[in-house]
Amino acid sequence: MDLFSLYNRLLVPFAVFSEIKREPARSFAFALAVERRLLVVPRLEAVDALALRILELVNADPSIPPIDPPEAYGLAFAKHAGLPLLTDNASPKLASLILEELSGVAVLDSLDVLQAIYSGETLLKALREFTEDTGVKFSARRLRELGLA
Amino acid sequence: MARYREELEWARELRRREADWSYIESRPEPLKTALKLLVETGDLWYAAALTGVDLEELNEERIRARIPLVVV
Repeated sequence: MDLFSLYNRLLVPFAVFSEIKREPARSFAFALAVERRLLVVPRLEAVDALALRILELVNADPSIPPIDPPEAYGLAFAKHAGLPLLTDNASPKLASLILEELSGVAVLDSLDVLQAIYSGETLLKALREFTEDTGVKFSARRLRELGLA
Repeated sequence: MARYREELEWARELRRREADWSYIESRPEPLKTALKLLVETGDLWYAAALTGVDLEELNEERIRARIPLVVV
């Protein structure tokens, strides 16, 4: 998996991992765990307080899309551990730009990750395949900025 | 922020436009409501949690209903 050309391991909070219930995603996640390329992060008291604060701050701000509890926990853990958060949801990215508590947290989406791995024609092909596989579409503005549309 | 707000509204319009509404209307409750919520919010977890539909089932239905998840 090309993602591991960027990162050695994926750390997945238990709150997120527990939502992977169906095949083939579950077997895929377990295979990565066996290879120690995916680690499940247990709930940490040190992260709980920040996650709750993020939930309160984001959901009280009408200019930011609502954030759900697993995503808030992931964002808090990213801040706690000094790691980037990978997500395609807009809310964590906006929260990281607006909230002082989250300064310095990098929130990367699929487009950020794919463009970090690929370039040129290979990137275009990867974006097409990703969209076909997942039904995820990318902002036309961002594609234009990258010279991809 | 204004740029993001515009992008989020563009994403909502894209979901409304591309969704297969006859497929959505054909689904039983609470799936139908979950898919409609997803079109409006773009938030899979929220739509699943609010309606009690399993998150992964909703994602599979999302793909069948041709509702794009939009990265802004």
